[in-house]
Amino acid sequence: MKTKALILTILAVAVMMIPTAGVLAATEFWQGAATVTITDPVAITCTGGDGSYNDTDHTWAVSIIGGGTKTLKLTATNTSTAGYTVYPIVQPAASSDGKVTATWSNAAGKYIAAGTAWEYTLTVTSAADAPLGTYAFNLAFSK
Amino acid sequence: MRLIIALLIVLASLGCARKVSQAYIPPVAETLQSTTGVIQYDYKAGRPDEVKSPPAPRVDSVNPYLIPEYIDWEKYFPKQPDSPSTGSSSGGGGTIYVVIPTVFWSGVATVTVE
Repeated sequence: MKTKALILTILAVAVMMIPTAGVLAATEFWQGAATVTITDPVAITCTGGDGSYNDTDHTWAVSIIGGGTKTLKLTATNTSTAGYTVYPIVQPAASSDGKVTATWSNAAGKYIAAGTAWEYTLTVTSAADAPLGTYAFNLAFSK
Repeated sequence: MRLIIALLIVLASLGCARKVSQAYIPPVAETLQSTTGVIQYDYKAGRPDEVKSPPAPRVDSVNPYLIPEYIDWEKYFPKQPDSPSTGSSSGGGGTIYVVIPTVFWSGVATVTVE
């Protein structure tokens, strides 16, 4: 009982000691802004091949004759301090009739150590009897 | 004589326990919780006839390139236990985190056959 009374007394005194005036308010005297841009540690660049490649929208256009083959070479550069397994992806892998195909080298993934790079080759092949026309393939890299 | 019979019973029971331990094969996938880039499996150990294939990861609508072929299920769900130390068919278990590759670059190839 005495202990509780003592605790209550100490709390009351502590509350009474809280100043009601004279607290200095912080004054803002400088302003600025910080812009932080996070970029992916693995960069993809075109390092060769046929046709024309647009690095802005990542589009590759190429013409091919029946029975021909064309390639696109893209290099993945790992600028981070950690290694990654980078997977090249193409969808679909072939036209609906199977006459035009697109395949990546190292499609099962390639481990790229920190500070190193690896070149992937996309090979498109047209069968001799492939119908004339334009075929689109979606490309991607994952890690 | 009774002592010998009791000893034989004890040895026989130890032999049965050994068989149970050898039958221990994890894991059995119980639940699947998917978040961006990571699949979490909670699993428990089970007998061989209880072991089933883990469910394939769902295809993320935001990232349509995530397909099951990219995951080496054998790597994360081995056929044999690493340390079958429990001696019980209900022992073991835990959580496995499977990291799914995420797409960081995309493009389009247009091939004109002429």
